[in-house]
Amino acid sequence: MPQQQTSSPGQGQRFDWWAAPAAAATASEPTAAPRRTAVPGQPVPTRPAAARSAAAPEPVAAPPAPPVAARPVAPPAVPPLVPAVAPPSAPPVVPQASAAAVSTTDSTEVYRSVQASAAFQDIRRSYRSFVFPTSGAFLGWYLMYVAAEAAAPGVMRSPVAGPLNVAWVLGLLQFASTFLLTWLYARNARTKRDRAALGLRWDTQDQLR
Amino acid sequence: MTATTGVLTTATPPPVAPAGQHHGLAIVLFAVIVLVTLGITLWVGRQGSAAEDFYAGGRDFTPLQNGFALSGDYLSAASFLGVAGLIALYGYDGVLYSIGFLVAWLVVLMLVAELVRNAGRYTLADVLALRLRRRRVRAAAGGASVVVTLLYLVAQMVGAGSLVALLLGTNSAQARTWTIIAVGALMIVYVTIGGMRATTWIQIVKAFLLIAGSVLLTVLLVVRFHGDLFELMRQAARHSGAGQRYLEPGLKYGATFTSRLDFFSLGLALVLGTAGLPHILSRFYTVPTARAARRSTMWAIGLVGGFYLMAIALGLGATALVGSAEVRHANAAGNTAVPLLALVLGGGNGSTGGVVLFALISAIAFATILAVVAGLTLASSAAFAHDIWAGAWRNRPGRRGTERTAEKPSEQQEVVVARFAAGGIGAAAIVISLYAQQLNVAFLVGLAFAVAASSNLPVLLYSLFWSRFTARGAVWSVYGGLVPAIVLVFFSPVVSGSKVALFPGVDFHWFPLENPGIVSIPLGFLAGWIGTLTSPEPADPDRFAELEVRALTGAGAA
Repeated sequence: MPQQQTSSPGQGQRFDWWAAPAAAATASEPTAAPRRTAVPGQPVPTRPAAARSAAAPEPVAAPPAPPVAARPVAPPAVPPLVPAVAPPSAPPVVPQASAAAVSTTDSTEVYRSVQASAAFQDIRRSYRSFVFPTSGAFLGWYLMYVAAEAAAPGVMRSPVAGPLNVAWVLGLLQFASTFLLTWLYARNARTKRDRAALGLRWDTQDQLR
Repeated sequence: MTATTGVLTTATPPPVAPAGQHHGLAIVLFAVIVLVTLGITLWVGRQGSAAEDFYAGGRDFTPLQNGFALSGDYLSAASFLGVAGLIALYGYDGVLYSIGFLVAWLVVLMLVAELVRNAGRYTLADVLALRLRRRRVRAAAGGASVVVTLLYLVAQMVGAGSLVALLLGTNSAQARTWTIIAVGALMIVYVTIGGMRATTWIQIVKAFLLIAGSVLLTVLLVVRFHGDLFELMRQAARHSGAGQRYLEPGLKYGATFTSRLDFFSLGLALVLGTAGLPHILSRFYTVPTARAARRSTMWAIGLVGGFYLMAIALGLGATALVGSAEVRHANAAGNTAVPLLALVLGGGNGSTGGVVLFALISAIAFATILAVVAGLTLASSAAFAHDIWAGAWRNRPGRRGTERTAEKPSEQQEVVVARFAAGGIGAAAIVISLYAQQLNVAFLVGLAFAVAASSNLPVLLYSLFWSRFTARGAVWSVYGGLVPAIVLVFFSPVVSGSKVALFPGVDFHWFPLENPGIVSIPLGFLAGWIGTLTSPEPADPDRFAELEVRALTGAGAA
C-alpha cells in the first residue's frame, strides 16, 4: 500500500493530510456527489484561520482548517430546512464540551437536516450495503471453518497436495480472504464515499459555525 | 490434551542446558531495551502534557506509524512466543489460534475503526456518550473497559514473570516475583511520564523489532530448508512425536465434544473481542482523520497477517529442528520454542551465532512485554479518569446543577487523575499478578477477549447502527455481557474442580467450558435488545442523527 504522506506534521500543527488533495480535487470537479444537492445562496463564512482559532474555546478540538483558497470554489450545501447559519462570531460547536450548550438546538437542526439530505443517504447506503453483507460473509466463513474442525474432522484430514490437507488449505484461504476483503473495503471506501463524506463534512461544519 | 511424549528424535543435539554466556548477553540487551524505552519516554514526554497529548498522543501520527503501533499493541508476547509454541507442540491446532486473531481485524476495519475515530475523543465510552448522554452509560462502559484491560494486564504480567525468568535461565519463584514488580514499575513510569505519545513510540519500536526479528528467523529457516516448505512440514511431523496427526486438526482440541465446543467458544471470543479491546480502540484517536484510521488498520492487518504467517513457519521450524519433546521439556506451554529455534538457527548451543540470536530474540520478547503492558495501563487509566471520574463521578447529580450543565472538571485535572490512576492500576495489576502466577496465560488472554466481546462490542455496535437503541439498552448490554462472563468463569473448571484450577482443592464448577464466550456474547447482545424494548423512554432521534452524521462524515471530529 503506498504511503501518501511520509513525514509527520510538525509539533502543534493540526494538519489534515488528506484535506488538501481532496479539496483540490473538489475544485477541479465541481459536480462531485454532495454538490448535486447544493443550494447556493448562503454567504460562505470564510474567516481567516487565525480568527477562527482565536474564537475556538479549545484550539485542539477545532476542526482542521481547510485551505482557504479552495473555499469560494465550493459553496456549502445548505438544505432549505435550515433557516439561518449561526453567526460567524459564534464558536464552533464542540460536542461534549461545555460550549455545546450555547447552540444545541441549532446544531440539532443542522444534524437532522444533513441526515435527511440525499447526499448523506447516499454515503450511508454505500457504506452499509458494502459492510453489512461483507461482515456477515466473513464471519460466517470463519465460524464455518472453526465449526468444521469440530464437526467434520474426517473431511479436514483428506490430503490435497504433499503434506497439505483440506484443513491447511482452508486455513491459508482464511489469510487470503482477510487480505482480499481488506483491499476490497478500502477500494470501496476510496471510490464510493470518501470524497462525498469529506464534502459533506465541510458543509456540515460550515453550517454549524 | 493429548500428550505427545513420543520417542525423542531431535534433528540436532538437545539445545537445552544453556550456558551462562547467552544469558549474560541477554541481560545486557534487556538493559539496553529498558534504557532506550526510558529515553523515549523522557524525551517524548516533554513534548506536551495536555489531555490531547496524554490520551491521544497529539493526534498527529501517520497511518504507517499508527499501523505499527496497533500491531505492536496487538502482538503480545502471547502471540510471539505463545502461538509459535502452540504450533510447535500441537501443530495444526496452533494455527487455528492465529487465524482467529487475524480475522478479528476485519471487524475492526469495517465496523469500528473509522466510526469510532469520528465520533469519539479519547475512549470507547465517548462514542456512547455522544448519543446516550447518561452518567450510567459512561460509568458502565468505563468500568467494563477497566475490567477488560486489567484482565489482559494480569495475563501479560503473569506471562512476563515466567518468561523473563525462563529466558534468564532461572526458574525460581523469587525471580518471577521481582520480574513482575520490575515490569509493573516500568510500565507505570512509561505511562505517567510519557502518556500516549511515548507509549505509541515504544509500540512502534517494539513492533519494528518484532517484525524484523521474525523476518530474520524466517529467512534463516527457509534457507535452511532450501525454500522447500513441504519438506519443513514433513520434517516437523516426523519430529513431533505425533506423526501425520501433527498436521491434522484435533491434537489439542479434538479429544471430547466439550473441548471442541470450548474451542468454538474461544474462536468466537477471539474474532469478536478485538473490536472491543479499549487499548486498540484508543489507538484510533492518535491519527488526524477517519481515513488515516482506516489506513492504519490496513497497515496493521498487513503486519499482523504477515507476522502470523511467519509464526506458523517458526512453530513448524521449532518442531522440525528442535523437536516437540525438547520444546515441552524446556517449558510445558511451549513458550520458549522460538528462542530455542533461534539458538539452533544461529549455529547451535555454544556457537557465537546461536548465543547472539538467542539473546536477540529474548530481548525482543522482553520489549514486547514492556510495550504491551504500557499500552494496557494507559487505556485503563484513560477509562478510569475520563469516563468514571470526570464523566460519571464528578458529573453526578447533586453536584451543582443538572447533568448537562454541571461544571466539568478541567482537562488538566483529568490528566492528573489519569496519571495517578495509572499508578494505582499498575499497583493493583502487580498485586493481582503476584497472586495469579499459577494461572494459564493463554486462558487469561482468551478471557479478556471474551469479556471485551460480551460487554464492549454489543453496546458499541448497537450505538453506531441501531436508531432505536436507548440508554437502558446500553447499560443492560454492558452488564448483561460482563456479569455472565465473569460468573461463568467463576463456575468453570478453571477456578475449581480440576488439577490446574485456581483452587484445586475444592469443586464447585458446573459450567463445563473454560471460555464463556459462546454463552456470554449472545447474552450481551440479547440484554441490549431487551433493555431497549422495555425502555421507558424512546430513543432520541436527534442524538442518533448527530452520531450518524458525525461518524460517517467526520463533521466536528476531535
